[in-house]
Amino acid sequence: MPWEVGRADGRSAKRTATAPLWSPEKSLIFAQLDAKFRNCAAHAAVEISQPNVERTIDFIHGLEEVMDAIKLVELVMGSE
Amino acid sequence: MPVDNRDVPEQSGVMTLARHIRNTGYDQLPEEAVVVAKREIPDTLGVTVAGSGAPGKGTLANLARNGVARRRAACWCMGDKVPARQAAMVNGAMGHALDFDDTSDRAAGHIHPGQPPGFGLGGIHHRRTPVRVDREWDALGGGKG
Repeated sequence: MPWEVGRADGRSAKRTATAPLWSPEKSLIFAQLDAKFRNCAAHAAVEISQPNVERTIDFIHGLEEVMDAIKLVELVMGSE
Repeated sequence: MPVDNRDVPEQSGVMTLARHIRNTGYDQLPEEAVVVAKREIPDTLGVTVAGSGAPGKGTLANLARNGVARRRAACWCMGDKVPARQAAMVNGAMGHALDFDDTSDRAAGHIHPGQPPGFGLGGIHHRRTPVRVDREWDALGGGKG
């Protein structure tokens, strides 16, 4: 899909995206998802400690080994 | 464990879905569904915690705190407990406050299927017994697969 942006000085820039993120041709890899989560967590209404952000990511990567899903809620409650 | 259906007719679509979720085991999920679940959880949870600071969230949270049912459910990024239905409302609003890709039909059907079970997880935060990931989160994989 081509996109063109006009500038105030009359020039323009055109780019073509053949596949959007998340499409089958360009699905996100886990490292990108982890980075997105870290960015989102930084904008939470309450401070989520950096260790808890990393624990949350580890928690999700290791779902098969987790014995209690409630800990996921606790990790993002904004307290250590 | 029986499905809690105090307010929902047994033959309703909600109960049918709840039974399906409850009776589907983790080991019954196709590998693709598990991969999708692991992709959706951080994405859905991420946009939800980011949305916890969105305009209007405070108003919704105050409304939730005024709920008359037992306050035993959690909203993401909130320390206090609110009634379960109000928690689902607040969590849902946060989950969609900053994220718009639900409307993109080109994004591989990416419609954040993690939101409903995510709300449910907050809603059962009061439980004292462990909530097994391989059971409760089956909803995510089962719903997508």
